[in-house]
Amino acid sequence: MFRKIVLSLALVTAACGPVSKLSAPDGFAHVEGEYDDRVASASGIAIATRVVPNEPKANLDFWTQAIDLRLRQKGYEPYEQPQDVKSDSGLPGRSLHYVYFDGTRKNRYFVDVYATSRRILLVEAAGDATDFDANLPKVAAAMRSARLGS
Amino acid sequence: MSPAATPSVMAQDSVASAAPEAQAEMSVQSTSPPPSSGGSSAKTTNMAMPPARTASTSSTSAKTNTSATTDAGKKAENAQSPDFLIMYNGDVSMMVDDGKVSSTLDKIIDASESAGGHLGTRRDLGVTIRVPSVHFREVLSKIGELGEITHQSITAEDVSEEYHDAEVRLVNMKAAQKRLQEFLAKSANMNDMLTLERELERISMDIDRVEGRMRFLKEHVAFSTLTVALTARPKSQPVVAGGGGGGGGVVKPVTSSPRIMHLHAGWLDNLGVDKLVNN
Repeated sequence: MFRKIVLSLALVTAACGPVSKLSAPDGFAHVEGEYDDRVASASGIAIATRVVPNEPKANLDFWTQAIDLRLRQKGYEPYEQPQDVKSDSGLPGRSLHYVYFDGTRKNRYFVDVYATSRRILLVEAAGDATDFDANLPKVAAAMRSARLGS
Repeated sequence: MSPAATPSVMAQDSVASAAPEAQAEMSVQSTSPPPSSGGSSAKTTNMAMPPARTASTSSTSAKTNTSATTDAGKKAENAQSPDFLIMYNGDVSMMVDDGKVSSTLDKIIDASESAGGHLGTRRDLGVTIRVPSVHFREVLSKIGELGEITHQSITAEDVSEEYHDAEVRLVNMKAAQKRLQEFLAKSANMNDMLTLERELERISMDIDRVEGRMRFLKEHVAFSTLTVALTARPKSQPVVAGGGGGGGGVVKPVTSSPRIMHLHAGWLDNLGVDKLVNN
């Protein structure tokens, strides 16, 4: 009986937690936001993850194209071809890289998308281009660390 | 590092992330008029304009290139002087003929290396190079000949004040270190000795930190960073509209904006820099 209660409590706790998580790289801190998990550096590089339903049900190619078209429509300029990636937890996905000019500021914006039959895991990263490029290995590692929760 | 972010060639520089509040920053955008010579501070007044290109307006882009008659070479020389330390960062977006992206990237790297610079990062559609500040304008000009520039921005960050502050702090800390060492040599009390040891350790770490920052500033003043993003110019293809009947169609240019299916996926609208960084 006691075991059952403990198990139920554990399940409830897990269900209340974020559905996707990231590991914060050195020099980054977890910050609040409308994401499942978000980490940021003091200089304004932010990396965040969230899970959305795979609705309408579609595959990775479909969502890659949908994201790319929407971002281009918003003025994002791709500067690399979308690349296949694999998360640390083994999920296959695709990584899209853009430049976005916000007034005089040049931003980098990366979005990795992983599609399962029920859910889509999105991992976004953005920051001032110079700072972002200098921290690229850290950012890439943190993006790859994104994982689906229960 | 994820495969996505792994460039085929990478020589990453170490960059300190903290930008000191004392830094004065001057940014010249291609879409904004060049600042007048009378700056708001003594430092900006002394600063010559950063390098600029010949004016031309791209018919394929809303952005225009502006011209500014500047003397970047002289300025870059000034940047080397200990009294005048300027860090340059340049971003250039340019369009090249389809199929020439890779060869253009090679030429950009060649231009950097022939000026004594080196490759920073190479990507499929872009490259970041480091060039000696004295050759910044020359390299920028060479790159401009390789394609049509659609966007250009050059930032000159004055770090003289930060550098000189660091110099003064270093002198003071070294003097303090010397005094502590003298006290330690004379001290006979164990407690005093331990306290002095701790203090010496702390001050040594501070000295290392300040020296590191000064080295970083010197290196980044000597070498400017230039990021070039390339876009392949699409081949123009006539489209025959109103087919069906066969032949006799009207020839129309290809429209650049793709049709987008409306999906009931509100999250697509929430993608992007603004929400990620600001909310």
